[in-house]
Order: sequence, then C-alpha cells, then structure tokens
Amino acid sequence: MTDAVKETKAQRVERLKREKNPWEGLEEIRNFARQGFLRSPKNGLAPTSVGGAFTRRATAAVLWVVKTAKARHCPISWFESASPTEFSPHANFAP
Amino acid sequence: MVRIRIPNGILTSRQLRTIAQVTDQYARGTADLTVRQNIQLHWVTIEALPELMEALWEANLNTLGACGDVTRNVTGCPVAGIDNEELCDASPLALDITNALAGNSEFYNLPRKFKISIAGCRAWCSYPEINDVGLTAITRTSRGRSEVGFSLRVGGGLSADPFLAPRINAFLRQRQVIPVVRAIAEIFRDSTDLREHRERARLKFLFLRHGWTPERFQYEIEQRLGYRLDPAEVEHPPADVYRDHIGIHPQKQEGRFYLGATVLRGRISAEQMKAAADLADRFADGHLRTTNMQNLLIINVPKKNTDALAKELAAIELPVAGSPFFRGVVACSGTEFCKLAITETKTFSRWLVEELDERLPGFDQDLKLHVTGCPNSCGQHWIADLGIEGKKMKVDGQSVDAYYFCVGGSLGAHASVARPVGYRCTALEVPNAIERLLQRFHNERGPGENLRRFFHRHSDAELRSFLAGEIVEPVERDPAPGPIPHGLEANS
Repeated sequence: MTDAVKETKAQRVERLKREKNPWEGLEEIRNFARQGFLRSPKNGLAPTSVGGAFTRRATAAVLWVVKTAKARHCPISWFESASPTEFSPHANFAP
Repeated sequence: MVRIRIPNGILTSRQLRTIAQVTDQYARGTADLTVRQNIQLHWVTIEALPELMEALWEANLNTLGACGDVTRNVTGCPVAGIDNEELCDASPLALDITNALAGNSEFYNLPRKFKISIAGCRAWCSYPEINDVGLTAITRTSRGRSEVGFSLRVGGGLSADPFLAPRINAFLRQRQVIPVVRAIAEIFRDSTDLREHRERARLKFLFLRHGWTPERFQYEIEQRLGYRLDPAEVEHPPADVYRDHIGIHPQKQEGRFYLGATVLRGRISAEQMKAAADLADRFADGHLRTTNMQNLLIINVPKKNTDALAKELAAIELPVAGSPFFRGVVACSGTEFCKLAITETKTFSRWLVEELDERLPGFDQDLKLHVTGCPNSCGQHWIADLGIEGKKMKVDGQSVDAYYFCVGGSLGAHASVARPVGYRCTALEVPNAIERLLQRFHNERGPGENLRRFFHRHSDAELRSFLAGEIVEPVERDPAPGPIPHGLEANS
C-alpha cells in the first residue's frame, strides 16, 4: 500500500497552469459572470488571472452582503463608507 | 481588481476617457496608477467583467498579461519619442516585445511573473536594473559609423529578496532585441528548478540559488540564438538622476512641450481622468503617458498652451509642481485592496506628505519616499532614498500599523539597494522620524551633498539614531512572508 503524496502549493499551481491555457479562459470568466460570484471556483479565478483580473473573495462577499442587505432593507451605511482598513491618524492611533 | 495594461505608458485621450467611464461605472470612481505604468481598478464585480472588458477592447485597451505568471506590462521611458536628449525612441520595441510575448501560448506558463523594461533615454527612468530583462540604449562607433543599440541586464527584482540585475557582456543591435528577449523568456520558461517554490521562482533566483553567473546566462542565450553577441560597450550609467517628469518640459519636437502632472501616490478619480483626457484634447493632440512614479503626462502641448494647461491641471488637483514630498511619494495598494498587505498605505501616504510639508516647508532636495505595505516591495522601497516597509506593532496591547525604515536606495551609477537600518516605529510616529532625519541632513550636509551621499557616509547605527532621536538598539526586519498563493498578486 502506498501513501498518497501530498501535493505542494507549487505543484498545485504548476498543475493548474498545465491543465488550462489561461489565454483561453475568457469564456470561463463570462460564464462565471453570468452565473454570479457565488458560482465561481473556490480558488477564485486563479488560472485565468493572466486575463488581467483576479478576485478578492472577501471583497466580493462583502458586495454580495451589501446587495442582500439592500434587498432586505437592512442598514448598511458602514459598508458603503471608505475601506474599514483605511489609515486614520485620529481613529486608529488616538491615545 | 482589474489591471489595465498600458505598454510603455502610452495612452490616448479616448482610452483615458474609457478608463474613466468604466472606473465610474464599475469601480466606485477610483483608480490607481501603478509603478509599471498600468492603471488598476478595484471593487469590480465578476458580473461586471464582460461589459467592462468589452468597453476596454473597443478603446484598443486590454488586460491581457497584466497579472499572472506571464510577461507583465513592458515598461519604458514615459517620454520616449519626445525626449530631446534620448539616444533613441525605444517605445516601438516595447510594443514589439508586448506583441511577441503577451497572449503567445508559448509563454503563458512561466514559472512566475516576468518583467521587462526598455529605455532609450539617458536617465534610465524606467528602472531597468529591477526588471527581469532591462535594456538601456547605448551608442557604439565602429569604422567611423555610429550605431545605437542596447545594453542588457537580466534577473533584477525587488520583493523580499532585492537583487539588481547584473549586466551581460553584450551589445544588442536593435534587430536583435526581440530574439534575445524571446531567448531569455525561453530560458526562464524552461528552468524547471524555478518551479519548485513559488517564492523562489523569479529569474533572479537562477543567480541567487542555482549558481548561475552572467557568463552562464549569456552562454545560454547564445545557444538559443545560434550565434555570438557582440561584446558590450563601455557605458556610463546616469548618476543621481531624479526624473519624475513633473513640470513643463520642452520636447525634441520644435515648439512642443510635455506637462507632467503629479498624481499623489497614484490615486486618481474617474472625474480627474476624464478631465485630463478633455484637457489633452483641448490643449494638445490627445496624447498622454503614465509613468512608473505613478504620474500622468500630457504631451505635444504647443508652447502657447502650457501655462493655461498647467492652471487647468492644478484646478483638478493634478498640479505640475509640488513639494519634494508631494512629488516623491510612491505607494502600493496597501490593505485597502491587497490581501498580502500588512498596512494601509494610500491614505497614510497622503497624510505623511501633508505632515512633512507642514514640518519641513523649505526642504529643497528631490526625494524618493516610497511606502510599501508589506515586504513584497510593490511600492519599491528598496530603491528609494527613504523606503518604509509595512509592519504591525503592539501598542498598549493593540496591533497598529507600523513601518520599518530602509535608507539610501539608488539606481544608475550608484546602484544600491536601500539599507535596512534597524529602526521601526508606528505609522503615527513616521513623520517625526523622517523630520528628525531630514533636519539632521539639512543641518549637517556638506557643500553640494545630496541625500544619497549623506546617507552613504553615515553608519546604520547613526542613521537609526537620527530617525529615533536617540541611540537605540537595532530591530530585525520581520522574516520574509510565506509563499504567495497562486492567483494572488502584488500590486505592481
């Protein structure tokens, strides 16, 4: 019996790149666009990132929450302000 | 994030207007000019991508190869073709290289990103030394005939392991540029050793980890070309050239000028882009350029229009003048948009500039002040006079943004990576530290001494004490970050 050899991160990336020529991934982006973000692959659109776009699942998830919250008439004003990580000498570093 | 590739930074008003329109429509009205002359948008939803990309294509713009393990945007001197001192206009070659490699299925699967820069100017303002392939124009004379060709450097890169590209002993004739670049891309593609670790996959690691020398690299190139390259010419790299292209400058074309507008730390709104495009049409012939110091140029401006255009640019907060801090600050995306970042950089940089302007109003030295939100150096802190690298520090039990100082980076004749001087402080303390350091320079500099020389004649301990205002023990830089996951990219 042989133990399954765990794929390293680099090996996984190389496998993904070998499997699909990302120059040809545009149609995939179109399909995901039609289906919506939540149907996009778990690892983002990594194989198609050479198309010049890559996802931030977290960002997109926030957008989805905003959209949902809007639909349900929830208060969402804090989502629409500047990024919560934005530097502010007063807010972040007040003594 | 959507990164729009702009080879050599060459842009028309129509294209900029399109970018403004998609920025307004899909990216919450904000875009960033990057250090590779790209423009990138954030907040774009996947549902918006098809329409956005179609709008870009219609304007003859695209995003192909702007991210991923491929040839990235080919950078070049932003005033190629109009610079009255350039050795040659290298921008057609930048476009030829783009056409040869981007979208070419032979080169879609490289071990990692592959960066090329080609400069026909004397200032090397596109930073060839920090690219995987750096080409700089040089003249040789043989049998009484003068010929402009290129010097070649390979394997440069910053990130957590900065390495300035070594020169190859070759003079490239202009017609040899594409075959040589292609041969280097093949060498990179076929280097299976580089595919074992994502964090050690850039071309420079052939030198840093696998024992390659410039001579070995040249041998490999020549093997693929099937002929020997001519030996290199003696070159004279530019010394202490600060060229941010800001201001009003005469072009080589009689009666024409270019105006360099400061885009503070690269952040630009859809309204500003649209206004700049309109101004380029109204006062010139609709041609613009982006620069690798995150600025925007309007070119081919008749002399009679320069003052009026400068005023209009100032009115939209893209001034053609500014303090050394305002002009010299460069910042990566930071935590606002980048998953790798440790600190927020864009708002911090604006605040830092305001603080320094207020504290040091008469400061008269050109200064590269680069802010990077993590060790990956997308803000290029390793080549700055003052480069600061994002960290976290605990203050009263809370984790806050902080920066580690690297001092005295330079390219050209005095090429040297900035020295990590062992000082770090909270983001809030950074203006105090820089003020102390620059006051010291102001008070103690010798006649004609510039920042680089001042930093060079002081030890790390001295510079650290200038920054801290007292003698302090050095702190180590944090170790390099772990492997970068596929699909994540530093924002350059």
